[in-house]
Amino acid sequence: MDKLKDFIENNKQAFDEVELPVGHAERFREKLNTQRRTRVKRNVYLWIAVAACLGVLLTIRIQFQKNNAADSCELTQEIQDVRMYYNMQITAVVSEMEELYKQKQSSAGLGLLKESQVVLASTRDFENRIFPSLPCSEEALFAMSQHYDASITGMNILLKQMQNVTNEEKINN
Amino acid sequence: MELYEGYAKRLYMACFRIIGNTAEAEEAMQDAFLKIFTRISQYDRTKNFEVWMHRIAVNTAIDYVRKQVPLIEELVENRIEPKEEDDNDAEELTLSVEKVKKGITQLAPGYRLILTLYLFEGYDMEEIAMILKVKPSTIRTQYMRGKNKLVELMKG
Repeated sequence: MDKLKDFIENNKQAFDEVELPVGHAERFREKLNTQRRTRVKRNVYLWIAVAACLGVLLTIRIQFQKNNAADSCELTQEIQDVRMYYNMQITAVVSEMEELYKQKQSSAGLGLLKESQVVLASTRDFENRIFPSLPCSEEALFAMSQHYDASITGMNILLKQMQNVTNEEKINN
Repeated sequence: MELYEGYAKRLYMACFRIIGNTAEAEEAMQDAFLKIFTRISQYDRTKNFEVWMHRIAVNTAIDYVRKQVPLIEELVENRIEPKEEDDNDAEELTLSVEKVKKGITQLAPGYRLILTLYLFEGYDMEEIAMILKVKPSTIRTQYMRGKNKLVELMKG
């Protein structure tokens, strides 16, 4: 028997008489628009990063297609080291993203993981199709670094977003 | 905006009772709606939609209260059992809506939260314990203490 609880239940209507603050709907509309703008901005950054990766890849392909197949050569140690260095960085970012996703699974997080696979696939494509035909030159090394740099930039943007999504999920739950 | 217009008052009320001030209650209610909009795909259609929204609003409001005070510490530390006779005071007191409303807003945030969830929002002690991640016995003790405090405030 709880007299207080009974009293509140018997007078529910009187307790529910609360006025919403004036102008609340307008303020919410503004919040909603701000959130939409932020989302659009995030997606634009993401697509710019992906487009940059694909652009670099395309440029390199065209450049090498112009070269004669006879220019192909054995890979130098330096090129191999650069490749290994960048691959380690990309793998570390992907692992970190997967770890964050395991901590807090969400549809946004899954979307980001899928986007990271797109960037990863473009890198694999580069390595499988173009890398073996690279000429032994400073230009080739430079083009290769450009491609990996663009991939890592894209991956880091995705990682940052994954961190934000995970933090938001943690706060919300 | 239709959803917002339809349920804003109900969710605002829950947030206001938990937080105790109008500006933050509005912020919490609107944040809850933003969460509802972004998580709508996660809503389980076999469950009551209003209850789902209400739970999001309550959790958001609790997060606002947590920013003000270390709620859990307060709940865990104050675990002294209230005296049995203290509870009889509520039975003797002549209650009024205004007195209860005013008293609730004057309570410490931890007490206000538990009393609000139990008395107004329809959660039982076990559900409140789950929401706040503390033992049900702690919630029961804190409820009794909070209620006695409320009675004192209404008498004063």
